[in-house]
Amino acid sequence: MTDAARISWTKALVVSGLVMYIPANLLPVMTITITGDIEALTVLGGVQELLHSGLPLVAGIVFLASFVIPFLKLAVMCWLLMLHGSTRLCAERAAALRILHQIGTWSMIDIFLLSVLAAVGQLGMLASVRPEPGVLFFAGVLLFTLFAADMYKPQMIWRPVVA
Amino acid sequence: MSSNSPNKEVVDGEVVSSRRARISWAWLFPILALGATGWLFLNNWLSQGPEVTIRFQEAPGIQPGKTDLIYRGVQAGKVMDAHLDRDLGAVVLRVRLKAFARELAREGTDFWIEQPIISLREISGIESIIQGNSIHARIGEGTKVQTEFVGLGAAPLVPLDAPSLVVKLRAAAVPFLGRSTPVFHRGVRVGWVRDKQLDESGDAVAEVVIEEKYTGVLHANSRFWVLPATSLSAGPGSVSLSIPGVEALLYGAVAFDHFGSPTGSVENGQEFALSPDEASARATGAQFQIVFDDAAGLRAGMTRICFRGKPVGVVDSIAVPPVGESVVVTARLEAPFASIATDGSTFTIVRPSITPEGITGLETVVTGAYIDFEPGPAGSVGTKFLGKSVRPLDWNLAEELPGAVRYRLVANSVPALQAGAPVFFRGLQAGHVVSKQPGDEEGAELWISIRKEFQKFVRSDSRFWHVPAASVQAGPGVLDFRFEGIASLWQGGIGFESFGNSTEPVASGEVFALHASRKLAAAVSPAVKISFLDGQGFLAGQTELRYLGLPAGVVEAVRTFPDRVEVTARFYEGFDFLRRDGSEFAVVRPQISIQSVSGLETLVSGVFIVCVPGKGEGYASEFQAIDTSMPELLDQTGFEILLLASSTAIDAGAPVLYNDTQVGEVVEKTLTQDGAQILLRAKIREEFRHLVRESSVFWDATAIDAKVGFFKVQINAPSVVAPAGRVEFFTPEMDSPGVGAGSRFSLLQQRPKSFRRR
Repeated sequence: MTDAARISWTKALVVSGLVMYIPANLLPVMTITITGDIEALTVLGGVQELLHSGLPLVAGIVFLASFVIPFLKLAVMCWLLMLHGSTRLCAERAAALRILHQIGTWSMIDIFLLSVLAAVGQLGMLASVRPEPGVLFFAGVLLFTLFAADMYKPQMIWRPVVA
Repeated sequence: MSSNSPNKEVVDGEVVSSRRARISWAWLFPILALGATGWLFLNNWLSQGPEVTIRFQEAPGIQPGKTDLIYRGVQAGKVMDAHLDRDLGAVVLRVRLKAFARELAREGTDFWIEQPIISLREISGIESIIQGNSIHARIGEGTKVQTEFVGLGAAPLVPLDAPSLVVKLRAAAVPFLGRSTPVFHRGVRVGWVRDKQLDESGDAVAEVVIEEKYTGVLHANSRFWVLPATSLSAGPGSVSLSIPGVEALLYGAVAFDHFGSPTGSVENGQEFALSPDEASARATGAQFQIVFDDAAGLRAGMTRICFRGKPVGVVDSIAVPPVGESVVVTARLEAPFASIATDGSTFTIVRPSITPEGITGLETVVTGAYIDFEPGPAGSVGTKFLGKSVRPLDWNLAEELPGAVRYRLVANSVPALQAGAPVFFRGLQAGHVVSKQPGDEEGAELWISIRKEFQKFVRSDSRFWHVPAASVQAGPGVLDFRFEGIASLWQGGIGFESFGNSTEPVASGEVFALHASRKLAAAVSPAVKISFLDGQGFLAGQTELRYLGLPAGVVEAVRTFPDRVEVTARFYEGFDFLRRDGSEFAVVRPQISIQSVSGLETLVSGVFIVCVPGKGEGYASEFQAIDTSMPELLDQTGFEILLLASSTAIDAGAPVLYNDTQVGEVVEKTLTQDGAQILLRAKIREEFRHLVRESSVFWDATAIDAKVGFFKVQINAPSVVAPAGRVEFFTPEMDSPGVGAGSRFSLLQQRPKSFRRR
């Protein structure tokens, strides 16, 4: 695959991720039912809920991991694509890509946790956790970012663009 | 990339990549993502229906963004926003309906907040305990679209479709009824009370909903009544406690029925009267009035009117006019009976009455007084009647069976006999006393009614007597206490029997004498008069005449003259021979002396007269009683001989022995005509008669036969117990001629020496 094709793929995947990022945050990702109290939570709603429950640290972590970092990843990918072919900040870009790869290893942890929660948290009438359509979009965002980061190779930063 | 290198080497020029112009397949992904997102938002937007605003007085437990709108159990919308209106007078909820629930946003739809109601009458909204309160909706009838609603304050009783038939019940008071009180028709729950309130006229009005499938059972002539929560009813033979059902146990219920054939249909909103109880509901006849002197025990709405014991009507109201001395009772009868309440019908208040003559209206002790209704002759239906407060003592007359015949009894007095007293024939009740009234002359007159099957026993010679409530009968060896059944225990009764052989039937209305007792009634012979020196213990109607220890007659009357007592007696059938010339009579009284204890039974039975039949051919009507210390020996039968002695201690009752065997008894001790000698009359039993012969020698054997011998004193005392002394005799020559009755012998002072004891 040529560099140009890779760039094209990366761009498409990043755009897809950005598109998916909107419903992923607008739609509820899960429904928690506790003693009849049905609560459909979006990602930010969940953060708010945690904050109200007096868990600011956990809320902060969830906020970073589920909201900020996916967005940052997409933003970094956009930055990389924008500076593609330029000779500026090559070292920084390579470092950023390396960090993206490393973070990417953990990116599906939210989805993993939710699936565990949905499987374990079935207490009949008293409590239940059910995934909502938003989580599909959320997983989509993560997957697209993951593949986009993988598609954009570090050497492409340094290689001059064949015009 | 690898393919580019050889090209570069061969052709060094501008390379136009044909692929540059082509769009990468990768762009399919963003398109798909966009499509999915777009489809999602579109779908979301399409599923949204119109937004409605609902105003509530209060909205407990409503949370914006969470509380659902439920229609038929399905989530049909969500509360988006809740805020108070400008003047803080109501809560305004904005509810976003779902697209499929779009039709809810139309005129007439009811919204209410479902919250748990747990009361004795109903339990509803249980699910809201767990899920939190929610808004429920019931679709309305209207067609116009509406988005502004006013919510209901409470959940309606019919959560879904509106009820098809609502009627109103009007009553002076509806104490038991309330929301969701069940309505029964013949034991089936067919509806419930929706609401109760007061209308403009101040009457209580209950709105009753009839379930749609049961609307056919309500008719224009149906009558509603209140079923009390529990009712205790007592009637003849049973006391029953009735509970219509568990749900009605606490708050009662309403029942309705159309008595008879159903007529007419019912429209929505039709009004019915609510009766306080079933009997009142049943009495559908026109109201009429009864005027009583006294209304004690009557209660409006409670007192029943009974026809032949069955309640057929009810007293509606009791009015006491301030002037006059009457009470006006307004009453109604059931329809079939209203038509027989013609002019001349009688209405009688029945209250409990317990007297020695009888018990009437005992059931009213439990049920309260009731009014007995007796229809009058055919005619026009009356509207005003004159009622009776006192019921005549005719409680047994109603039992008079067809074919019964009445007779008249005349008596000097009829103690404690009242109408209804039983008439017995050989212990069976053959009829009863119908009435009691003063006779033509002095005395009283009784009318009795004899049942058909006993009529053949009433003959021309039948005798009637008064049966006492209880009687004690004592005779020799007999003590008998008896009473003739519980009915006669109160007042006794009348017995009758035929003592003769007549089979002559008797026509109705025949007059009989009523005797004071059965003994008197049974004594059918002509009367005899017996004079006594002493009348102690004689009791007319009680004192008996006995022959051989058995009753032979009874003293009918005792009259006292200056020097004697004259007893009028009659004999029972078959004892006529006691009236013959020469019959002897003596009175037996209890005697306790050193010599003997006798007449002991007279302690209980009273004195009696012992009779000895005479030998004469004809019958006499007057007798002189004889005076004897041992009168009970008079009627000893046997071969009579007379013993003459100059002096003797032997008295009546002394045994007559032959060879140490008693063969007879001295029955009387008198003097001879000139008084010079003692005359002992002895009776020898028939089977020993042959022992008495001309050669017989009689001696006084009272003295103890003591002999002083050489070594011993021999006391020859066969029987020490002979207080009256003993007479012995011996006949040495058994071939000497026999003697006739009444032969005289002389009584020796002691055993002749010639008759040695063997």
